[in-house]
Amino acid sequence: MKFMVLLVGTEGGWDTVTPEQRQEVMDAHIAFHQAVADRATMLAGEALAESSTARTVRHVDGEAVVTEGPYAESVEHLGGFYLIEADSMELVLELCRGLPSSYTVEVRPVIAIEGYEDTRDWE
Amino acid sequence: MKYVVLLAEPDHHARWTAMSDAEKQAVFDTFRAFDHELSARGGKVLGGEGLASSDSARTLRPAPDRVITDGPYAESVEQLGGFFVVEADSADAVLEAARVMPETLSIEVRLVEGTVE
Repeated sequence: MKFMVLLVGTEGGWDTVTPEQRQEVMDAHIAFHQAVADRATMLAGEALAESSTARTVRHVDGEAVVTEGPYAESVEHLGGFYLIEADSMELVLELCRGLPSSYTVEVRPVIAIEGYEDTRDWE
Repeated sequence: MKYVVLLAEPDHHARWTAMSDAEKQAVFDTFRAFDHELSARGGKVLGGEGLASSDSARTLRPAPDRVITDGPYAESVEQLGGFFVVEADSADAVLEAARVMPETLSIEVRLVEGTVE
């Protein structure tokens, strides 16, 4: 089964942490990659630029309108994600405990979409 | 550059499950059109997934508690229904291509960290 792992937190902290703290975060991600490789399969993962750099397109009165910022205004922002193939959500949640403890981590099952198999296989 | 494309709309899951197969196929056609529009602008879809309802999410909360709660990290009107990861020369190209997807969607385009715009 595939699971989406959303990494959520407050932004702007990266510039204010010490080099040691940054290394801790990077080490946690490296360890996470290894743990996932050992017990599941890592399909994809990316860190995202700050949410203020996002742009969102919506349709208003039939016109496409682009605005600055993410689709949802919230205190916490999506900072990255992983896509993992694993036997259970419980396993994914257990693996996620190895991620930096300042993160909020949402795990969501991926659905198999009947009638649409064109999705590229995560090149 | 690499971008993540997030697809969200209010009550996404309720809307999706209420759709007929034909209506869903029409939505998939717009995803194929997005792929086509992006390619026409020199871009490429690397992958994408549909997500289960936010009710099915579970969230690991931060320190010091680190408890697991049922549901998404935040209740919001707009629910994330799916995403793509794409390659493109600019966010503009992705945003333009994204216009062919359903009008009920809010579509966020975010640069992947480590790529320079």
